[in-house]
Amino acid sequence: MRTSSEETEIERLRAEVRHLRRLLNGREQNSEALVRTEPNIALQNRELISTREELEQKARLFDTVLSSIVDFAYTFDREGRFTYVNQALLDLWQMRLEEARGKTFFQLPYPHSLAARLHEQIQTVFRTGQMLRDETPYTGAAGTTGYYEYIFSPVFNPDGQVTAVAGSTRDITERVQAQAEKEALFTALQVERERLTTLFMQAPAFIAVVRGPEHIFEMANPLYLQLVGYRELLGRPVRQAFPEIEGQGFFEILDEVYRTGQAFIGKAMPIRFRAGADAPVRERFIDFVYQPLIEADGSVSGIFVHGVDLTERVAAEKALQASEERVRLATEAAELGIWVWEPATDKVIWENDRMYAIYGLSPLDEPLTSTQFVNEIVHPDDARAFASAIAAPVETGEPLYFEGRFRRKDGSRRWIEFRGRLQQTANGEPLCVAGTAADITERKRAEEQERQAARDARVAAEANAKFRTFFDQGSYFAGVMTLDGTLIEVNRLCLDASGYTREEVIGKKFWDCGWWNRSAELRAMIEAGTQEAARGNVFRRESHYFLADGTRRFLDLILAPVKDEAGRVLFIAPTGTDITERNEAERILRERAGEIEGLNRRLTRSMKETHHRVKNNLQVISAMIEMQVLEHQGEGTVPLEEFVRLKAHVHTLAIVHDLLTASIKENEDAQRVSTRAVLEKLLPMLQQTAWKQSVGYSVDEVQLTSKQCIALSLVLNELVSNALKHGNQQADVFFTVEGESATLAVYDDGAGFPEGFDPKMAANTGLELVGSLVRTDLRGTIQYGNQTQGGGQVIVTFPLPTSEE
Amino acid sequence: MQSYLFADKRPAPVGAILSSSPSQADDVLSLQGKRAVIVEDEGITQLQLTKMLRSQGIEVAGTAGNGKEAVDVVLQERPDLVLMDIRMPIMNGLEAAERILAVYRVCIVMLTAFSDAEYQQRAEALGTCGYVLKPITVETLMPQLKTAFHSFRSNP
Repeated sequence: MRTSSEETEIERLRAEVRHLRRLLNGREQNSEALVRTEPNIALQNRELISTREELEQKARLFDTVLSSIVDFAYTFDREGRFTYVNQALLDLWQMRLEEARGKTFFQLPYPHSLAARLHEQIQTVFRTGQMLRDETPYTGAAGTTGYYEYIFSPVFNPDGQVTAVAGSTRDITERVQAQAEKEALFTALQVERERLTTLFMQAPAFIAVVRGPEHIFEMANPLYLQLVGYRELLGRPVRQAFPEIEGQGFFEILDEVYRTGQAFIGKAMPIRFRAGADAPVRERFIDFVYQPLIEADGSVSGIFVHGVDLTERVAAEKALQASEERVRLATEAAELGIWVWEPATDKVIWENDRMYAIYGLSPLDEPLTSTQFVNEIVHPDDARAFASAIAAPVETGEPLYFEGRFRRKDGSRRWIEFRGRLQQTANGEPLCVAGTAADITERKRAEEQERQAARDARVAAEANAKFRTFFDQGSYFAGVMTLDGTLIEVNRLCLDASGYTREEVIGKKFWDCGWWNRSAELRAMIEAGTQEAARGNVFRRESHYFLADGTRRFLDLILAPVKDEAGRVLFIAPTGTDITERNEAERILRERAGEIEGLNRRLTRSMKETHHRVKNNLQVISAMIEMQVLEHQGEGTVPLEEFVRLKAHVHTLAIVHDLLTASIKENEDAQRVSTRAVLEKLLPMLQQTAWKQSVGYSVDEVQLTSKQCIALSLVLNELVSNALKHGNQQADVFFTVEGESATLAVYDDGAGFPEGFDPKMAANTGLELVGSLVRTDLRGTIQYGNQTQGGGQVIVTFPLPTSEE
Repeated sequence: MQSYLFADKRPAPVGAILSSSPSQADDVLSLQGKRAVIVEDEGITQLQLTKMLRSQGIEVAGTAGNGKEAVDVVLQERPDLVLMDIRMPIMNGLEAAERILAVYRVCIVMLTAFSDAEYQQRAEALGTCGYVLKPITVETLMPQLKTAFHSFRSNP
């Protein structure tokens, strides 16, 4: 940059050059005139030589002068050829003057378009005689581009014709660049101004400028106006514009800033003002700067007010804080751990202590990475599910969800639940996954218990259904009562069979129900039994009970305690079976059994009697045979008639036995036999043994013992046999009963007993037998005698059996 | 304690009884001259026993048709032997035997149609000496009677 003095000097030199040029031009014209004037040639030559020398000296002087300046100086002829070029330009071209002289711009290192323009401008100056000023960029031989201002000036001859054009060029590169920079700065300034204006007008902050000690509003942006309710501000002092702010300290701060020139920065300061003329005073929060506007002399001319309304943000922050607090309280209450996981680095941040507690770790421990979790913590069977769960947010954007088993630091096995969502960067790249963790062991246990409870409930329901079926369709009475004896359930059969309605029994004390309350004794027994069952003991009785119609029936009643696993009595279950029919059947059975037992006893007795009778009969037969053997022991044989008589005796025994057996069939206790029945069978048999004699008989009826009957029959058999033996044609038998005795009389029509007959001396087994039977078995007497009309007679008298025999 | 011998209930061969009973009895112990009381309510049996005992030289000191009579006759006659039926009117043979034995030690042989062990045990318990089942023959009665009497004599 040249100084002003240098500029002044350059301008002075330029004026001198112009003057010299004009002089030079005049001289050259004179010189040519002299040449053309022959007469004075010599003189003139000398003069010319002197002049040329002078001119050349001056030219050298000019050239020296012109070459000492930094501007370019040059001259053209009418064809546009350079006639002079100073050193500065030659240096630019890196040529010598001899090389440059006579060349046009076209022959010099100029772009054609530039050369054409310059050439045309030279011709214009020749043509118009007007000076021409222009600028152009040019790149020199060294390759440096510069900006140049040039002036083509006509050189007039004395006739006013343009004979040459003198040019001078100044390197204005710095100026042009400065100008360009200035213009660029201006443009930038303009843009910045517009941008600031836009910012000012559209700024999200409120901006205002107040001036002077009264803080008079000079400007305010729309947001400021909006903030204050579009009240009138411009030109008004702040105290006048905002009377409601008085006392809140803001005016004093403005005064202080204005006074001290020190800026004031307020952070989240509360301020109470109206948002409109009729609006109520409301509190808002603002961040603001009071920036003093300091003039060049250091004085404060005003204050730049810039701020941001934080009210919504403060409210939002408060809401956020409240929300975060709620979230914190909620997560603490929910015992949720909060975590952030960066999938790209597997970096994990635990946001609260709950995470450490879940794993049984100390807050001084490092959070577990997902890799550690998979390798060391999670149950091997759940590791794959965990890997899938944490991959889901990144791969699909789906929320993370995992629940599985893990091992705490103390070795205990527990359940954990992870929930999380992917957070992305502004351009949609995965940033992190944030979420919660919860120890769900208790929940899982509860769920398992719930499932178990559900299973139990299903089992219980099935059992209950079975129980209901059993309960309602069973063939027994059943109910449920509380420990105090209140009946709370009863089965259908119990009601149907007894004729009571549910309303008549449910809710009542068991012993007050109609089944029992007709009898004080029965009611007391049921109450005592209920209390016994409530104490945990089974009470069982066979008792009667009453139907609704008063019918008395019998019941096998059981009052059983229903206990839980701990043995506590929960309910009492009364059950019962109507045993009325069973009791009746048992009674009948007992009767039948008694009868059978009686029959059995009678049969046994009868068998014994029969046995005894048979044995006695055998004994009788044996005795008779034995006696015959003894009687005829020395003879070697027994007479045939003895066997006939023995046969008759056996028949007699058989008859009595048959009759007695027949009587016993009718009366098991029968021990008596009809004399008529026996004798009317026996006597015809004896008749058959009598070939030519007849046997007459007359028999009274009386019941004798079997022993008497047998003895009587044997006696009769023996006596009739003797009568037939010793009689002629007729034997008669009379059996009469008179009073308490009976008499058997047998008569024959023979010679009769000899005089002095003594049966003991007769040595007759038959008579011995009769005597023994009458005496021993009949406990009677016997008389042997003769009839008055002839013939023997035997009369046997014996007492009838007493009622006890 | 008095021994109580009861006969083998197996019946003896009839031929052997008919042919050898007297000599066998003699071999064991002769009851000849002994006095016996027959207690039997069946007249035929009473007569049979009378004949049988007499045929063996045994004196029939008395007879009775029931237990009450038996007690009187036995205690009056003081026989060597008592043949006592069990089943009798007024008083049965067991009771009569008990009463007799209570005051008079005598060889009592029970005669009965009852084969019940109960009667046999009761008779044994009373101190009777033998138990003979009806029907009675001389071949079955006498050996048992002699054995019972021998036993009674050996352990009076």
